[in-house]
Amino acid sequence: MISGDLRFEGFDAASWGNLLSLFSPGMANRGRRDMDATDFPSVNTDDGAEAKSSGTLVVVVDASGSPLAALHTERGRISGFADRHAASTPNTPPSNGSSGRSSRKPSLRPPAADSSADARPDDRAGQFSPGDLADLCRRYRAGRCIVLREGAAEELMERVSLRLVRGEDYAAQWLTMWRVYRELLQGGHIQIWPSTLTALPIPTSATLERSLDLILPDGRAAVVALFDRGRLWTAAALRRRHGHFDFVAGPDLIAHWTGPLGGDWRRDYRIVSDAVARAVAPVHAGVYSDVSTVRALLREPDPGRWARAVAVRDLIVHPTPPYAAVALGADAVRGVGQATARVLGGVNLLAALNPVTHYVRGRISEIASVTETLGFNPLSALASVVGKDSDGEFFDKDADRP
Amino acid sequence: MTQATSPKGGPNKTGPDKTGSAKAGRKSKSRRPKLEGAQLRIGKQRVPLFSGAMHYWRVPRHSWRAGLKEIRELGLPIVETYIPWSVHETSPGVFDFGQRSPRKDVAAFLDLAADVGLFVFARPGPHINAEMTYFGIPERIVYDPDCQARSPRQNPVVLGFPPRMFPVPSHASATYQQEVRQWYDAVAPIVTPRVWPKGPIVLMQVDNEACHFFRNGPYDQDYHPDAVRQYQRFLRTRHRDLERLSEIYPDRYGSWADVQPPPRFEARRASDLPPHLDWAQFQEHMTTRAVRDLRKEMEGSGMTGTPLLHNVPLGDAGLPVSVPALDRAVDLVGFDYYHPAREHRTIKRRTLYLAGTVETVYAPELGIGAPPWFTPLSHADSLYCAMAALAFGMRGFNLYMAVDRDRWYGAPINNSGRPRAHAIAWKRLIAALRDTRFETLHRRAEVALVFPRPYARLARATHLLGPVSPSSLEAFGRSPVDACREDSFEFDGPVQVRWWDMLATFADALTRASIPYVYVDSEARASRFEGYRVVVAPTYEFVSAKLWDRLQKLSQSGTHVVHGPCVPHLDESMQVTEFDSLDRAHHVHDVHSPEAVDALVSTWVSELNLLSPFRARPSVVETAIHSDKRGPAVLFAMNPGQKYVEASIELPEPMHLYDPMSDHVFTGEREAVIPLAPRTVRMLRCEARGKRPRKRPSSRRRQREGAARNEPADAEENTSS
Repeated sequence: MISGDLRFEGFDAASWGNLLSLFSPGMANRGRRDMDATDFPSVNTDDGAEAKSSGTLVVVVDASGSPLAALHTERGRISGFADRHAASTPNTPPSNGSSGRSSRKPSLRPPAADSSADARPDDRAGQFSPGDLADLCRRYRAGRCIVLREGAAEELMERVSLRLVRGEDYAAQWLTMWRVYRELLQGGHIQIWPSTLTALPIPTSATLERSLDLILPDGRAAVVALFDRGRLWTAAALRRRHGHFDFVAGPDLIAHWTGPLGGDWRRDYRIVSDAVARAVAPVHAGVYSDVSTVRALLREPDPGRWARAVAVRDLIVHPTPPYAAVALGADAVRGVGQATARVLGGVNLLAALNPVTHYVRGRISEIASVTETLGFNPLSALASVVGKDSDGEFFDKDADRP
Repeated sequence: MTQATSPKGGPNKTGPDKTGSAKAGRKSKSRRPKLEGAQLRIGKQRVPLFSGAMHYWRVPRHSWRAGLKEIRELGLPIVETYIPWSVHETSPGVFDFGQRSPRKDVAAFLDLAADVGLFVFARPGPHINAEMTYFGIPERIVYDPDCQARSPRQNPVVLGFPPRMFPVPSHASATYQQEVRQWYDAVAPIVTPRVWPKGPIVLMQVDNEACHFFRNGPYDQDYHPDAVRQYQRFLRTRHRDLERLSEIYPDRYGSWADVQPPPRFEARRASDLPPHLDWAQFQEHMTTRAVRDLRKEMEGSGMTGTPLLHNVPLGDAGLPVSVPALDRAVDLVGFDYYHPAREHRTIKRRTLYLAGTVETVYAPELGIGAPPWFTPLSHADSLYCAMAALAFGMRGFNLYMAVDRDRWYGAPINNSGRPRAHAIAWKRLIAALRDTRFETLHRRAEVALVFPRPYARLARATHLLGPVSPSSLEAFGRSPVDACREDSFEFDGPVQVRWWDMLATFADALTRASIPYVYVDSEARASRFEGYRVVVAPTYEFVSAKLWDRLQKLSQSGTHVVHGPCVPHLDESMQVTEFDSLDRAHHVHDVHSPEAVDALVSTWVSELNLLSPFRARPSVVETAIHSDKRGPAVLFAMNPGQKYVEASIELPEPMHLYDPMSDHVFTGEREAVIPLAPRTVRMLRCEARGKRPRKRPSSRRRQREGAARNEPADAEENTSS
């Protein structure tokens, strides 16, 4: 998926930060957090319930499930964790330097099924229950919790190193790592809460490649360009070649290819698209907008908003690949449903349209045209229903009708 | 093998001397470039260690000159570049130095640098990282099993960096060393004829960020047979007698070859610790030895005649790297800096460690921008990091990157060689540093905190997250002891964690009291401990005999030595030892309580009259003063907080404080009020009242720069008393 010769260039700190702030706000905001209060912050469980739960609680346990140490990825080490949550089961091996462990409190975990020191690596002894982990998260105000049996991280890397094949790309390598991680999860070496992704089937490299073919075919480029008062605020052109993403170009390069722009992004987008086509590859998908529009869309994911923005050209998708048309069509359908519900006195047409949207989603790989598939152009339909007031805000034309 | 020569056949000696730097020096008496403090002596010139990075093979050839000229325009006398093995080796043993690809013509680039008037800092690897696939090492090398580092189960050691995970090489591998020798032999004919005074190269670096390729968990590597043999030799040198080793270690051995490195942490008692502490120390030794061996190889191939540098990456406190040992292996060792402003404390700690441990605080990579897979750094972050590091004592740096390139964002000069908008800030900063001759100033500290390396080794050995190593934790803003096990090993508590807590407690107390301090590594040269009025050393149940002896000498010579919380009774090998009591030293039990340490520090202030110059309010503001022979020359005022503040700074005498970055002048009798935006640093030139403020930049320059920033050229004056 990612070429070994990947080129990434043409960003300054502002344009890269801008791009991340939209699509990976968590990463962009990492540097904006308050600095730690001391050189050695440690988690205080008495900080009060008002503090927000965030970050990850990492707990390392021994073969019998007794905690050895814990840390919070955002707040620091949790001193005394092992003592607070140590097991008191008779089979627990004697602690190292037991002087500090004499007054152990009961463990949060249930008694282990097999907590002998020589337990096999794949047994499930000493497992925390999901409730225990949720309690730990609450207590230490973490968004998630990961429990590692001592040596699990080393085991993961040992197994990965045995399976990596020279020539495999980065995505294939990560899939290998994901599979090993899943094995360790199933073998009880690792526990995670909440376990949202544990049931997700791991795709093969071929499946991943086929999906990417749909999103960005080989030899094509995708562009996103966002403007602020007519100037490029951030932009990225992504190319896929020989099955891999091999080039990410930022606004500096794109501006170099386009030359000076006119200042009206609704016209300039064609210049950007043509320039990328000339310098990089034919453009398969392009998204252009003013940054304020995109911010509003990302902030308020109301049904139909994306489709409305497209319909009134506050967001230009050009060219529109089938999947984008389907997504916009589905969004438009939801928007129409919500608008007509008001007109029809609360009758929600969205539910009635569900079979249509399912049908469209099911045929995503075959769809050449949404209009052809649906029999009507959902964006035109939406545009006829909605308009913009003088402040540029959306309103439903029929909303105030008696 | 293709002969590695320049298409031009030698260094470029033509071109006008417009600049008076690189070429002017070349006319003078031929001498080897030499480090003199934080300056580089080149012929008769003294040049500050200010450079900027540009990767010739990643910049279009037609933009080389523009890029180099802009580096000069920034005010930098030196351009730095890697010379990447994997780029130049087109097939095994065959090299392209521009014969086929013009961008690879490194000789032409070096000659062009000289022509533009720049000196060169060359870094021929073999490891360069530079966000290159396989870190700039040819794929055939990293996939050669003989070259690969080994895990305890003899598997390759894989690093997960994008855009490819790869098995990292073993520095101990004889095969790898042989391959490196061939690379050096290939590149030396380009480099050697261009070493000063024949060419522009005045600095070189051996390897890059030697730290086991970031797979530096305590039991990650290296179990390569060649590494194990090194380990056995290390033990032999350290313990000398196999019989003695058998007494110290839990097992008995028939020969040195029987001693195998520990594959995992297994200690339960103090007496079980020696093999693990030795292993942690060996990993440091292996790093130093690799650098020393590679230095010999460079010299053997003819790449010699300049000071040799090495850089240590982020997370130094958790790395298997001994800075004092590296400092003896090369001429200058420095730290890389890529910190957002929120990591003010880390910037401070790392800089103060270098300030105490080595002679010159140098940043071989002072990040401007970053790779896309790092924590995002804004322009303000990069500037904050640079200025905070300068505030705490950094005297030289290599701006990395000065010219933009592939897999990077945020350089002040773009890939076409044109300056970006924020280049002006860097230009002003560098001009201010040169105007003040910042490299010749010094920041006085009267307190030294001892960084206790044996405890740091115990912390590494007891780290529980394996490949998510202590240094990775530190690099991501946590401490290197965050994931240590809590076992006490029959001590009073977990020493592996407490030493860090103690240092943090003292550092916080000293900061609150506005007392400048540094960290001195316990294994630094003896001279590094001299000149302080107070030395604070963490001492727990075991201690290095050498450190104890040093503390004894310091206390006898009148230094106020403070140690605690324990009086040690074990040496580093956990053997009961009767340490002479430190008669004049002060043993303090309560070294972990902020209140107790605050009280202790306040007694130093009252009884020892420790300096706390230019104290600032509110407490979030920190100051640092740099002086020359005449007194205070440059004051830094830092606001690491997220709110705007007006800092009141105590002045020792009436003075003007001139901010060369903004042209503001602040004046005060006993106090100056300095506005500080959130997360900003002001560099203020101190001028005693009665004299005119410092020489300003020429009005033409101010107008030019002011116009670029849309600001009036006239200075704004603020007066307060």
